[in-house]
Amino acid sequence: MTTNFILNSKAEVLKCRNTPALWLTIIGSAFIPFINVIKCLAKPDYFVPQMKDDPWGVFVVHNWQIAASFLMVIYIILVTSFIVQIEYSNNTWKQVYASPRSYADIFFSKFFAVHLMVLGCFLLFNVFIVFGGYAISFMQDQYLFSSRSIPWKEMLLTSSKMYISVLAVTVIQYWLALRFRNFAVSMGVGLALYIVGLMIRQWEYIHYYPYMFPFLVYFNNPGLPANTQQAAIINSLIVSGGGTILSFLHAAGRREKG
Amino acid sequence: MNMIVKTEELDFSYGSVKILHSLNLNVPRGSIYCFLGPNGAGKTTTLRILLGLIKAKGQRISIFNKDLNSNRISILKKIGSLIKQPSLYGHLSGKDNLEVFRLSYGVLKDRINAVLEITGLSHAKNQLVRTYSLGMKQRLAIALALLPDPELLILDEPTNGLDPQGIVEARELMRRLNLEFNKTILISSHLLSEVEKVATHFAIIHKGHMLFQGTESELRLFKSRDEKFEVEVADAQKAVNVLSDKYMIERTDASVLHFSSLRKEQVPDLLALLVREEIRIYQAAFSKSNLEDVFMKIIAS
Repeated sequence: MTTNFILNSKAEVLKCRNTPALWLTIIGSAFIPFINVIKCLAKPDYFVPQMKDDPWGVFVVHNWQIAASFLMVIYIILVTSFIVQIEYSNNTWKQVYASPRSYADIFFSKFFAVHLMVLGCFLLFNVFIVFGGYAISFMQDQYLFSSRSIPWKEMLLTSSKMYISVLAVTVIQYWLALRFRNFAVSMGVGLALYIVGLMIRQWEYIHYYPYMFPFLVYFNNPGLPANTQQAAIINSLIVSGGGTILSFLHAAGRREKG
Repeated sequence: MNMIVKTEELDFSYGSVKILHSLNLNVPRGSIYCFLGPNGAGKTTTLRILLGLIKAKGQRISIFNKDLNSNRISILKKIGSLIKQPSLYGHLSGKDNLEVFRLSYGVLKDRINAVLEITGLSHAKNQLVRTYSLGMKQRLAIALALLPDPELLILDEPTNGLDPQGIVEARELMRRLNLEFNKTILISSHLLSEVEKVATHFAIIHKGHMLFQGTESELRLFKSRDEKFEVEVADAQKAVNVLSDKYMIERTDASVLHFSSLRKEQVPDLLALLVREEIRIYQAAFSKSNLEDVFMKIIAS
């Protein structure tokens, strides 16, 4: 059973080769650090004083701010749609379901591939932040990245928290992508729900709204209860657990597959 | 006879629309069983049920003498399938496509080269599938179906969209798989002419009803019952007067008399009578209806 799951997860990862999901992960994770490198090099007068005491800390925040406020949720919406779409666009669901695999194996091995891609994106994002810092120092010696130590622990902590914060959105988008053959539906619904979230982010119950969890977890939330950040983390875990079970039951219970 | 696939009174509906009506499918081991019917007859639905792609709860479906509903995974391990259009990942190479399913079936790596060899695709294994011709895709889909070295191959309209050359190649491949590799092949088609040269057994389905099921010779017998004898004479009216008492003349078209239910043993007497009455005979023969005509007549009736 476990061996089958590992082999099938390997097969799911192999399917991602040469796909937009993979390119999005690589390019998407490099995008923000790359823009920030250009920003720092273009405006050293403004940024050198800002980064004088703690260059890595400030640079990491600059990168995460953009990711947490906007691009991370967009990435999740796109990557889940792209990965599930591999089967729809190639008309391969029927072959997958005609293979000797349990429904749980089919559902969870693909979900595992989605998570692996998301984790890969987080890892690459951090790697590009580090490369970015050194690149800035290399090209503009006023910056002090080379002489300061990288805050690995803080980066790991932030990444872990942010990964938990996207779990709920990931499962909702995964279900939408499985449920609707047309990927415009999962993307459209995901983007619409995210935009609604941005519009209602001062709502007192916003910590129940999965598309805003990354925003709430990363930023201080003036005007909202003090425990909003913790509540968002816990709710993300609850929604992701419950959502995974419900999504699986729905997928396995469908009368017609493929 | 040892049946590899057996359904008993298989019924299936989409809501209130009944798709399959009490289908008793019996596929003998070692056969090339051709499941025939026009588009919308219920062929694909039946095959999808056999592959577990459509749940048919409470139905008695036995494959390899095991109940499908309670042994789905162990049954699927021994089945290779191709349902309608090839299901392939266009962004991967032929070899990677096979690798994806090799991992699912848990078979040895050597099997990839073996099936590429059988289907004649070894030269294109590293090429992206989206650059394959339709014929190559179809062959790769068959290679994929062969990957687990299955006892049973279920191929739904495998010649769909192929050019005449591709159809001949696919037919030859099926014959080879059956004879050399002892595969039982359940194949569906809406064109009898594509499969009549290769099939050993036939089932004809129309609007979800099984209209015929049997061997090739049984189908031919079925056909002979339906054959017409035709005689072209110089004076049709006189011939009708002479013959109508003794033989059943179905109709007369200008100078041609059409007889129904005439056995070949009766032909010499019939012709002798015409000769005695000095009616000149231009030609006389049983109508050359092929299996396709029989198929069409079965469906039309």
